[in-house]
Amino acid sequence: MVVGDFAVELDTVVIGAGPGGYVAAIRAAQMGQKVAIIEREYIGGVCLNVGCIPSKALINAGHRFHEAKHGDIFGITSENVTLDFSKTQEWKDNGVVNKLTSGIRMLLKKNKVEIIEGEAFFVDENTLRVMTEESAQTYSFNNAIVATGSRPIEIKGFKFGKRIIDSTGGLNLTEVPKKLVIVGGGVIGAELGGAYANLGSEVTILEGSPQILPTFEKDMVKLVEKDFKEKGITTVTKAMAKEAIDNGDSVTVKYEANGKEEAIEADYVMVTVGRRPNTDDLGLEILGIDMTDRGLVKVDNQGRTNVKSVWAIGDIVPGAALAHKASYEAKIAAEAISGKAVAVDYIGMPAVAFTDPELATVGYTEKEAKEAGLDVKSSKFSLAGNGRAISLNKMDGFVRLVTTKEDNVLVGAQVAGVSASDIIAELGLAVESGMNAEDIALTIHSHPSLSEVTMDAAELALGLPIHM
Amino acid sequence: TGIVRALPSVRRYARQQQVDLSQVVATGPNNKILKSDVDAYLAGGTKVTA
Repeated sequence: MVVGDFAVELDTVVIGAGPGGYVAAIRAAQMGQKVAIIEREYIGGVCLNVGCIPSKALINAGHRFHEAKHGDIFGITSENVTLDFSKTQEWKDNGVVNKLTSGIRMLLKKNKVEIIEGEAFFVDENTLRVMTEESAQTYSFNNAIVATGSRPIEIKGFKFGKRIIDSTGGLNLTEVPKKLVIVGGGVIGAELGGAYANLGSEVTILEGSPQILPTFEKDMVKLVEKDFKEKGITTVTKAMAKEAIDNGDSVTVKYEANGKEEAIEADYVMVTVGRRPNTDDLGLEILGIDMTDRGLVKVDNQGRTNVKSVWAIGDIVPGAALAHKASYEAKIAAEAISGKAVAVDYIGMPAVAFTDPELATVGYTEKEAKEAGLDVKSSKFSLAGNGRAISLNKMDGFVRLVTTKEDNVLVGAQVAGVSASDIIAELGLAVESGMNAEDIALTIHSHPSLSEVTMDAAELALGLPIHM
Repeated sequence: TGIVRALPSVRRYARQQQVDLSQVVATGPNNKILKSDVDAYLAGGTKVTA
């Protein structure tokens, strides 16, 4: 690139190439805008590089290993099942992450989005300065979409290092820890805790609130707790993490629970207590962008900030920090910039935990629906009554529909069980479309499949359950 | 209830036509607003009276 003071002119510049940023860039290009995307670390962002995708790869490897050793019920026994974790990691990095991120790079190129690897700073509301390794370049833009994402929170007493790690460190371990302590039993902590337990670690999870996975309902979480118990995972709730001491070849984690000071020695401690928005070091304050007191960027229903030319999406704006939320907001913002009359408009945002069993939710829980003033009931159908679940030997779980009493319209659903992450899609469509239990019950579901439980739950809502 | 019942595509269509769905008379099953209901509103026939 030519080094110089003249500005490259762009219609739209996207800062950050995560699931929000790259989708925004592609959609903006599809709309005919001249687009550049600026990324300082990795194409695909947290999700593809150190989040959703690598964690699912390790979770899958954990399942494979665990099942290889526990096939007795099917008459399968194997001896000397071994794990070469460096090969697991090599597959995760090259077979999964690199494959996907190079795919994103290709999609950006195909859509003629210029990829700039560097760090962006706002100079004013129509100008950015980008520092790359060898040069600096000024870009002028009509609109900027800020999609800088989030990073792990470091807590007091737990300074990240070799043995005190964040989720990125947890994904990139070169060995399976003999002992692993996880501070924070939310989705990230519970997913990786389960994965490492399957891979052979002795896992302890310290959670501050009264239950792990606090964003899911108790009857769902109970199933994960049962699985944790079977795998020998120790869960300490209402625990207060105090300090981690790096002993060189181990780490000592001090915490308080039930009014007592405790200490555990482990190979690693992974801190997954939350994420903070990357809204610093960007020059947003120079522009006078309105923020919430939690450091999130305030946006309207199109993703526009108080500065007309600047838009924000994903983890840096309010709402759940989920990849699919960022991608959804990305398309709205990119289309709005092209003058389309669009706005963020969804009734159900699905959320999934890839635990054993998987947990998934969309729309309202019964409690939330009642708080919103809706007169609703719940219909819960167990996987134990489903032929496919029995043939998989995965009977723990259920599908629950939350429907209006008046006319059985689906306002929310929760799924716990094998493949809940996929089963939730049908329910998301139904919630989004205002369908009722009858619409679902009258839809023929393939047999035998886990999706049939959705039909069964709908028939239960109508008072005509066949399989219970 | 306060829920707008319409398919996502109908909600987007209404927005493009600058139609407030709460003003549209629903003729679909379970009080669902159809694309044709939005068109009928635009044609001026179906204003909701408070």
